[in-house]
Amino acid sequence: MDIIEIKNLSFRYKEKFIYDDFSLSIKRGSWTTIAGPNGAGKTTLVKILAGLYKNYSSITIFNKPYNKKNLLEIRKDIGFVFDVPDNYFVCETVEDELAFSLENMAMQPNTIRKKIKEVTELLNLKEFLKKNPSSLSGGEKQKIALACALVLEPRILILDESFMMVDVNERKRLLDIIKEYNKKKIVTIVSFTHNLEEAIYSDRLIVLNKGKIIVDGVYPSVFNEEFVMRKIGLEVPFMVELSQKLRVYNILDEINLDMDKVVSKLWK
Amino acid sequence: MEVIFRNVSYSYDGINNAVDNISVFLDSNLIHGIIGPIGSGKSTMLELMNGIMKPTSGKVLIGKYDLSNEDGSFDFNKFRYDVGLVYQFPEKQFFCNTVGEEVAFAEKIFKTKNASIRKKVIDILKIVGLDESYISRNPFSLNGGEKRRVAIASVLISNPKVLILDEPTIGLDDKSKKRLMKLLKNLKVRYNKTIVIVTHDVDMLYEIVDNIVVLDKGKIISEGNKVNVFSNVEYLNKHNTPIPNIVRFEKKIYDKYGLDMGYIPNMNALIRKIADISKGGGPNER
Repeated sequence: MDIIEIKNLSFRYKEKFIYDDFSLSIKRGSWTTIAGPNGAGKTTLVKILAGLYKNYSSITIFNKPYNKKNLLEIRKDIGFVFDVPDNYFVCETVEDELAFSLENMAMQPNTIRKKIKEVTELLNLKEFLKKNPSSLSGGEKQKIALACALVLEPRILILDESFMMVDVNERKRLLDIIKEYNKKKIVTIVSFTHNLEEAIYSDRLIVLNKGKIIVDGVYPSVFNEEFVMRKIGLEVPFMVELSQKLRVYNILDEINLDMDKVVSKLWK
Repeated sequence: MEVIFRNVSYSYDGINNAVDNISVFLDSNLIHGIIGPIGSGKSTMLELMNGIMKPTSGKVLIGKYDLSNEDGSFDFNKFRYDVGLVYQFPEKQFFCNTVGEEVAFAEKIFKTKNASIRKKVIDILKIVGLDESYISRNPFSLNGGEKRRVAIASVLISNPKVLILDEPTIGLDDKSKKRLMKLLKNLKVRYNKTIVIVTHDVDMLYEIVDNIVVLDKGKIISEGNKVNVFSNVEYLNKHNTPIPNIVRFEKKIYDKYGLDMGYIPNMNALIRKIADISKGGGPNER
């Protein structure tokens, strides 16, 4: 069942069309990665989905038209994690930050405590709870921003370059946690990024370029199109590029993302 | 101009040290990378080089400037001319209507004459790979890579001897990233800048830097020539240090075949090396 449906979307800044007759459906419970180079239209689409641009007519979410009347009701079930979290921290401590939205929804203190405890354990945040969010490093702030979205238990989670300040080891850990969360809670995830490594965790990879879908596929076969991705300036995962180039030299016969397997096949 | 940390500690809360008794010498006319897992003290080190935050103890020296000096004799105007800092997302600090005004801003503050400013702006834009036509364009209308280069140009116009960059490749696609890496190498080789990059993009770093400082929990756990630093992958793994993909791949080849492939800066060099070895039939497994 489709949870987000965009039909024939057109959007322009002044004279320049960013989207012209753009359509996309996202299935409930799936994880879709939407990648594209700078200027592909990713941020515009995030803002449209956030309801920041009045362009609702082409969009249906939870089977309801995404119009002015339904906007607030739909938005309360969508969690957003934006690229620069500094812009929306308002409290003195991480714990207060996590409680902020829950208090605004008039939840009971016991329920709030329980939800904060759950998300703290999920993302391993105990050491941060009493700290001021503004005193944290970029990667830590992004982790807290993710926690603020998850604590509300959204039905849809939209990630906009949400891990770009997180180092590679921590990013892998977070993506593993989100993958498990996605399956367990049946949360629909739409992740906007230009890091194609995230596609390995998702069910579907869509590559945007100049407002058009140019690649739409499933990992790992989607990486057979890696030359298209590189052509438009995307950085493909290290092992995808390496095994594809080794294929050209007839040293490997397929794209393989497992470093150990590639090493053992090199000189066979 | 060199950067020296001498027994430097800094504490935000007066209890825990974000950087803890670190000493390091970053030599002039080289590119230095500072890496480490999140919360390891990278950003604190960067802020201490900015001159606004003073160390809790120890000394931070950049050339003739003693940034730990509290006696008021420190000339910030001169310091800002000699040491340029490019923050994460510098483009978010844009406030002028044209690229020309944005890049010229520092010069106007320092009261340089108008005619010479225009020439300077054109020259600087050229260094960062943007032509004259960009002068009249709105900086907010540019793509991510172009914005980043305008931001770097607005720092370079003061001709700093030291350039410090916080996560310079963040948010950039591959093409923009490669252009930026070329620009940074060029700034070192042709313009003799000392460049310090704080980042978690270790693949980029491994290709362009000379030296690396590795931090963990506020302490320097390794530093020096990048090849030496990354020669001990097990040790770095223990400290949760991000390892460049090429180094990880080379390590696996070494473990399986006992073959040391030496320093390989990037993907193309790696492919050439593997192809060369394959021509000779390849090594035997250990």
